[in-house]
Amino acid sequence: MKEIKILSRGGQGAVTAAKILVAAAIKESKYGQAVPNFGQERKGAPVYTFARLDEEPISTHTYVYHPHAVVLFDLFLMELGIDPCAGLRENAILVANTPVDPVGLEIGSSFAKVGCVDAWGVTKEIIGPVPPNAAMLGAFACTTGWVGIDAVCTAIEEFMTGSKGEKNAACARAAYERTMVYAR
Amino acid sequence: MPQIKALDGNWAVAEGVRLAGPKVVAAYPITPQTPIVERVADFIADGSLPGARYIAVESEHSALSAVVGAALVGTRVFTATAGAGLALMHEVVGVASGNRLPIVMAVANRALPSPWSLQVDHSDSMAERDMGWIQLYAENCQEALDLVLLGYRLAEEVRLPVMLCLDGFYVSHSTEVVSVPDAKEVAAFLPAYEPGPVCLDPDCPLTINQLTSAGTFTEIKYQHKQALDQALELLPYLGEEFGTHFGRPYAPIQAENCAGADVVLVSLGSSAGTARQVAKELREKGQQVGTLKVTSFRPFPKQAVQTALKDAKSVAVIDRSWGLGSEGPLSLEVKAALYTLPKRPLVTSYVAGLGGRDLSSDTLSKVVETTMELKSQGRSEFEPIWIDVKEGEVD
Repeated sequence: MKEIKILSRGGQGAVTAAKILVAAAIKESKYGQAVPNFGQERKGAPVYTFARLDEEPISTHTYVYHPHAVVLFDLFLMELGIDPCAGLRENAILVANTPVDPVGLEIGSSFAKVGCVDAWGVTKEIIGPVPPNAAMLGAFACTTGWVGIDAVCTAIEEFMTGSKGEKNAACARAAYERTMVYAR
Repeated sequence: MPQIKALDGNWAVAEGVRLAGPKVVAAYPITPQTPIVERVADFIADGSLPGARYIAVESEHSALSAVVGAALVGTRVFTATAGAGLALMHEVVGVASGNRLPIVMAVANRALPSPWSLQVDHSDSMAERDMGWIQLYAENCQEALDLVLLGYRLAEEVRLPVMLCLDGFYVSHSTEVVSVPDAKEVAAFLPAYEPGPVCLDPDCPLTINQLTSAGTFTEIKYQHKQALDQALELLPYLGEEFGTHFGRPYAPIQAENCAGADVVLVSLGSSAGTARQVAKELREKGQQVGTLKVTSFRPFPKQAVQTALKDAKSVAVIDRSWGLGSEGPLSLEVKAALYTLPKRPLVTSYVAGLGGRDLSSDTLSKVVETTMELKSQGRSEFEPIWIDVKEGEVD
């Protein structure tokens, strides 16, 4: 089982991204689970979302404390004292929303593999000023390889119908292609 | 063919409701239940629930009153609530069961105030445990859907209401892989609604729910008790039958690796799944840890629990409710179920996961460790252990 921690802010679409990840797992005949940690949050406040992927049904219903992968929607969360490196498993993977080259990313040194994408930039270019969640899913598929980009795109189009789905799927695919991955 | 979908617990319940096809739905929104009735309202609006009427009410008391009225006229009904909303229904909760109305009500478990919380514990449904309803606890999103269908079947067989409890957020807002049954298969398992023996009919007026003297009150309540006994007898058969239709059999309890276990973790709701995973990992390390999940808390399957636990060495009961002034309700039930055994396992009661605190694998491992330590001393703890309480957190 792969356990994933998604760090984001309210309004960035991480909860929806986690749900789409479950739908993408179904496309590949796998199991998935998304567990949001809702508080009394508001737009902009830090949001923790957890996800699991497995070949077998998942019976655990808890938060993720020891992630195999961390998806960081917003590097500025670290300025609030949020530590993306907390409780990491060995050989953990980081997927980060940043135009910075993964080789030079400071927190990258705690991870065995780092994927970076300018999710805001890709999203703005392909869709406009909307949440970067589809782009982050593309970067996740590229960096981890735990779910295929085709499954991600199909799942996006299921969750968001019509042109919204098509645009978001295109955005995920573009991010997938532009993600820079650095493995230690 | 069933459809495999990524659904959260709330939408899974709503899919179950769509398939069961109630004709009247009345509800008042409250977190974390609101998406259930929003989704059901969508189904009514888009024609997926043909002939159904949604009654927007001004409170939970009215929501349950409205479905009580509709059920008395003789139709399948649905409502949902949570936390303080269920508490506001309390008076009508007894009316629904005392009038033997096969209502299905989803409760997305939420801690009762105070302090105010949006998050899960079972203090809301446990406060209603002796009100004569059937109470089923879903472990995951699939069970949340399935127990709607099984709930209606059981409710209508024994003419009792069913409270389907799903943990707020951990099930209600968590997304999982859910198999949504085919409508034809559902129709084969859940027949069309048959009105009960007592029905309101303008052509044949009668009074229902009138003042009852001491001359008959006991007998009416005794019948109510017998109906719950009947539900307990019937549930294993209906659960098996559900399995033949949908491939997922249900039973009042699910016991695994209990005989001879050093520790059996007893729980209900979403933590039962976590307990199973924790037990599996500990068994791989050579520890003898079993699990017992209680799906039917009311009626409580006393005999099945006794049989499952009689050969365990020690038992750890985890209550996700306060049990203030005594101990958690699940613990009380388990201890009572074991009392008539000549030789009983050691039982320790734990309280954990209140007001949304994560009932984590670490917490459950700590429960196992503590129970093992007590067992090595040949004893159990007399008072409940609040296993995840933090010292010095609140001054």
